[in-house]
Amino acid sequence: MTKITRSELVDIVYHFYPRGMLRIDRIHVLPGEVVYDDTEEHCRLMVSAARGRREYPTWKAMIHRLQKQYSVQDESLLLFSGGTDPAYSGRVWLTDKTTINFHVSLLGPYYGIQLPGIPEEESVAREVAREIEATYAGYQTIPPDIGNEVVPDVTVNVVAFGDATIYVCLFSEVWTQVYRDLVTNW
Amino acid sequence: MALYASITLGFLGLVSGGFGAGPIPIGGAPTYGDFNAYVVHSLPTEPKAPPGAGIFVPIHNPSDFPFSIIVPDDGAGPSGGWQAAKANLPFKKVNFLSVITWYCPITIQVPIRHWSRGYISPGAAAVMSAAVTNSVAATMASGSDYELPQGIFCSKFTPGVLAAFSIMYPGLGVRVTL
Repeated sequence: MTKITRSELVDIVYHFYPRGMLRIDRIHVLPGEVVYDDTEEHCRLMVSAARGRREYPTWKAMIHRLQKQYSVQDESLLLFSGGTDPAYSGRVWLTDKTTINFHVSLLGPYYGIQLPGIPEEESVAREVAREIEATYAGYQTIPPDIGNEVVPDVTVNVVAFGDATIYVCLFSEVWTQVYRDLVTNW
Repeated sequence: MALYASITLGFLGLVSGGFGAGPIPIGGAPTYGDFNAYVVHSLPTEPKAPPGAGIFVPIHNPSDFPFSIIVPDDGAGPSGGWQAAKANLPFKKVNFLSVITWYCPITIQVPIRHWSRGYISPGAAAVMSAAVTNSVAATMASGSDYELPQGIFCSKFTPGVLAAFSIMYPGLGVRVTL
């Protein structure tokens, strides 16, 4: 495993997200003005998403293997509506109110598993990690002290400018949606 | 608002009293798990209108959200399928004797089958979407957000919709994009 550095990850973020730009739609600017979606960075993100769609069968097969043991929800289908998610994402329902989230980045060899902090999570998290590492050889996790750093000058999809962490940039805003003791009104 | 005399009855977006004032946090009151991500606890079960909002007249209708299937449900796993609706949502404000209208493009995406909600029809997805966007519009109307430049307003509205879905329909896995 190679050592992951903050500068390496920030370089990746800036390769795929334009710096200093809000995500303003074209209809709100003067004709011909360059908007977020016109930038080279966003175009690279679109190329990565297209690769995600081409290679989706690999992810889907892994999801199916996990579904034999756990209740797994695939959160990657947004890619097929033209979305530019930076990662595949999935969710294991440990109980009817608590989930483990897991992500495999399309922007680099990184994966992430988010734990809700309940006793049942450990064995499931180990199995999910084992499956990811077997399916995506060479991928590694990002330490929280680096991943939780905010990148102050980028916008990620609908995450406001300056609010996205390195984790969100590499794994999408689904990173912010871990459920524990969910009180539902369904 | 006085220009919108007709109210669509039986429409989930019609609320009075009670939306929580201020920004809607993503997923409710945040605490931190292993990766310092927001972890959702004890979400409110009822959306609340902004204080002093009175009767809020919904400005978005379910018909604004024409959901179509992107990925059919294959029946496997606890959830399946994917549907999306692109909309250009209108916003209006009265400025002296004129009405200013602007539009926010938004795409709302919802699973077709959810492990606990079951089958989510395009109509149900449209009703949920209108309820959420109206609740966010009400919250923004109660502050000074309607005075923002239109592009900035929309860049605040869209994250608000994503956050509101997490509160009003938690665990559904809705995604919101431009």
